[in-house]
Amino acid sequence: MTALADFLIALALAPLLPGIINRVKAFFAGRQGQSPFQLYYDLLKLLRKGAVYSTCATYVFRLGPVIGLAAMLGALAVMPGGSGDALHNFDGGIIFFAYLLALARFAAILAALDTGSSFEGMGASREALYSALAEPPLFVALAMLVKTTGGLSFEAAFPDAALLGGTPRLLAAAALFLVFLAENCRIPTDDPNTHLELTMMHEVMVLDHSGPDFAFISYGAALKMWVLGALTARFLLPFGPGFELRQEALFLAAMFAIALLTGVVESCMARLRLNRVPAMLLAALALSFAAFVTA
Amino acid sequence: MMELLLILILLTDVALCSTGRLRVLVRTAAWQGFFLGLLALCKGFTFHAATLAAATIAVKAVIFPYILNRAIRKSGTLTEPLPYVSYNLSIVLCALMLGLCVLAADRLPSGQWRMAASIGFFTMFTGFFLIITRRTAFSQVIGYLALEGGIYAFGLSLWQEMQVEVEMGLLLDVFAAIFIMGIVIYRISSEFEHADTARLDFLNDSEEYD
Amino acid sequence: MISAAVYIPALAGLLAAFTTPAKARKLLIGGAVLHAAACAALWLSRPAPGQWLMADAPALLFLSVSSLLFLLCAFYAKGYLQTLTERGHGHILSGVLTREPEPVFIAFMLLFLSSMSFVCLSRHLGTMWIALEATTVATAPLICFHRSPRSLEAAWKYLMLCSVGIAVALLGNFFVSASLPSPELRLWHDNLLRNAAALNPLWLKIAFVAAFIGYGTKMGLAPMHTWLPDAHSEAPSVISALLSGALLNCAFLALARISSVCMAAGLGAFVGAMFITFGAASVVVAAALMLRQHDYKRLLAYSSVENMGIIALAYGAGAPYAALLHAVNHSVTKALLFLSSGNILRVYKTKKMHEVANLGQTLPATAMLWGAGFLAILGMPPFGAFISKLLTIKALVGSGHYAVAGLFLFMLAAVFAVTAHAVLGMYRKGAQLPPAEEKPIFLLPPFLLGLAALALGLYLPHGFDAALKSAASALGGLP
Repeated sequence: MTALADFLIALALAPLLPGIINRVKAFFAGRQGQSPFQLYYDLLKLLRKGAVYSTCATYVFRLGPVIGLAAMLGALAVMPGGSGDALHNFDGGIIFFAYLLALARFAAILAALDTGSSFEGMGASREALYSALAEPPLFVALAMLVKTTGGLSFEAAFPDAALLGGTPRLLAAAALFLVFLAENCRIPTDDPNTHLELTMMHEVMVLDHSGPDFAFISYGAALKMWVLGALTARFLLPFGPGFELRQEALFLAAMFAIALLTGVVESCMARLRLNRVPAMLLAALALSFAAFVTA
Repeated sequence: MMELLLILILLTDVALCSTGRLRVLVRTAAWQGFFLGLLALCKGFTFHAATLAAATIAVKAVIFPYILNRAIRKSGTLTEPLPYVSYNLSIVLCALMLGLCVLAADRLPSGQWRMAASIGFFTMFTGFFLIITRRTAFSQVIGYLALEGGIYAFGLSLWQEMQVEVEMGLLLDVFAAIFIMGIVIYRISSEFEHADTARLDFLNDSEEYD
Repeated sequence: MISAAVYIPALAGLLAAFTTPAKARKLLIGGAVLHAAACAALWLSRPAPGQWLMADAPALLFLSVSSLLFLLCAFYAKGYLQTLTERGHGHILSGVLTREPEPVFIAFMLLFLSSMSFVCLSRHLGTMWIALEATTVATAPLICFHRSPRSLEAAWKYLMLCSVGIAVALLGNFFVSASLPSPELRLWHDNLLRNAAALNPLWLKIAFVAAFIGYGTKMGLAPMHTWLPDAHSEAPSVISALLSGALLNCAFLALARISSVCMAAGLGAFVGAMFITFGAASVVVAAALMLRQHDYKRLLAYSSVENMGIIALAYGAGAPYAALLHAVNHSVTKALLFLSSGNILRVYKTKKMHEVANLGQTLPATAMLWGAGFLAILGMPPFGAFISKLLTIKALVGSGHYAVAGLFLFMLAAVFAVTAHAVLGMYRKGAQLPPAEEKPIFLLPPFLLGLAALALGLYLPHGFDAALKSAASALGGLP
């Protein structure tokens, strides 16, 4: 029951995260900024519109956003929220989670390639490169969990992670935060506000999607931010199972803090040069490896 | 507290492997020296430990960066030209070295200081790695600093209260070594107009030398 | 009392750094003479060990060899600096170049002597490490005195490799302290020897390996020798003489101090095997590289690698007496050779052997010394090195290392053939240079060293023999 509540909270609050980030960036830039609820309005607007499809696009293009959103919903279902219970808990959930992320990316890349646009192909290739580099740190961090707990489900693993010292958990959380930034196309790897197709990465892949499809993609991206944020947060907050108001509040505060931190990073840093991004992700790998060996 | 310092030292090691900008390297090495100095306080806040920490921080976090920055400014070299091992590969190797060091330190009976031993080893190997794979004299000096810092951290993990005279002598020695290295680098860069040790190849045993 | 040997040169050095060249030269001679006097006083009084310093038999032996070499080299250096001043700011090989100010050079020489004495007299493994690293720091500026590109390169390699090597030896010190049964024991060398049985052998073994790599680098054992030919051939000849003759010995002493603890703790077989392996490797590598050497100073440098290999072989075969005797012989002979090479370089202005001819006519006195030095270093009978090499072979055979003994003999023969051929070439008829003036200040020091090399072969005074024996028993790991 509490797991369902968590799930619903995530569904409801996920679009708030990009809003918070935007607000923080506006604050640093000295602007008023858009409302933190802007994404909700955008989603409603997009859902009311119709979709336009290119004549040379096939069903792969139409399937992309649907698979992406479905995969994120699945990932959210195995990731426990503040209560410590996951909606769908089974042994192997950790692997399932990692592959759902990959599936969503696969669908997005295929959909981008399907349009035949050279810009989208370029964006897809960069996305593929970065996600390939972002996966090892994620897996090593997850392997650390599995190594300590022996179980392959988040629900079992997170409470046991309390057995770990603070060090490995801190290191893993730092590595996962870097993965979070890369996977969600935030600033050191990608700039979500860029306006030139050549410099875009994630945004260029979705240029051809419109109406409800684009709403799916935007909502999927928000959910992805939520699950990866939750993963990072839960490394730092290894709650036991069961509902507790304090835990719930801490968890939501942590999510809020991650969004704030992302906003601060985006405001203080410039985007890395393309060939330096692998260094950042490899550093994340080194961090999670450090966590793995010190665990 | 100690764990946090060790993690910070570990992060400086990774940072040292990941960049070729000399000023960043010097700054990172300075931070590492600062953390190493604080590490001395983790065994208990005695007068002895405080002296050691203060001296270490003064030498490693203030004086060395000053000497190195001065030499860098005079030589006009700002970045490492094409290291033998790319930065990305360096980070991966760094991660592997860390694993090996932790395994090695596990075999030593250093008790609760196991983590200090492994990070000490790791810092040492980072230093070796920099000396072997970087070309400018500056990076090599920074590698030497890391090597020495690693030995110091490792020594902290095992040492049973070394005499203060010995510690101070050690520090003085390292200070003198870095000082002389700074002078030699300065001479090299004014004589050769670069500080790239890969191009120091006059001396060898081949017949056609000179 | 003991500390005088460390303080006198250090003080003289600090004073010399801030005076005029003429006064600095006086300080150099004065410091060297006073140091020799302090050394003699130590022989006579045999003071009890202090907290940090002790003057036991090995310390005194190595200290006096260093002191005597330094005394002779100080006179030679005085002459060398005088000719430099007369000639102005020219470099011997490459024309006009700047060089370090003379007082600085002299100051570093004296600091070098001070740190070397500190290595010899150290009672604590930690201070011994500090002193040995200090020798590296003090000698690097001496190597690049002329600031020529080649000498800077040599100084850089020397500084980097030796500092890194020595850092590994520091790790070894920490491992030794980890092997202590109780922390109160600390790293006093004599304490360690006395309590060797109580040390943890595993830690001690790791410590020995680290110390061997570290001090072995400084000693120039192959394959850690790569800095040595560069540094020893590019330094001014008088500095080369000190580096080869005195400093390598100090590194050996440091290594032998730790080894003796390990032997006393029952690791004798392991220690011996390490010494034999690296000693044999040094002899082979040096012989191989001497084969195609065209530079006479590099030839001498490789010969130092070879002789350090011989010392390691003798020590590893359980004959510390032979090792010490060879160390003394090598010091005296190699200093003689390097000083003579300085005389040749000054006149011929080249280090290539095939560009030197008519040595006998151009520099008759130096030619005599040079030839005698080579006969001595190659181990020809009237000279001391013959005896110590013979003792080494005897020890190798006696300890059952027949293959190593065979290899050693073969390498000695190879080195003999190669060196004799190369050196004889320098006496051949060729382009005539006008006979050059040979100043007594450049001849007397090598001549005295030559006499010493001869004397060591003909007659070992009883007192010296006894000193060698007691030093050998102290370093042999026997309590």
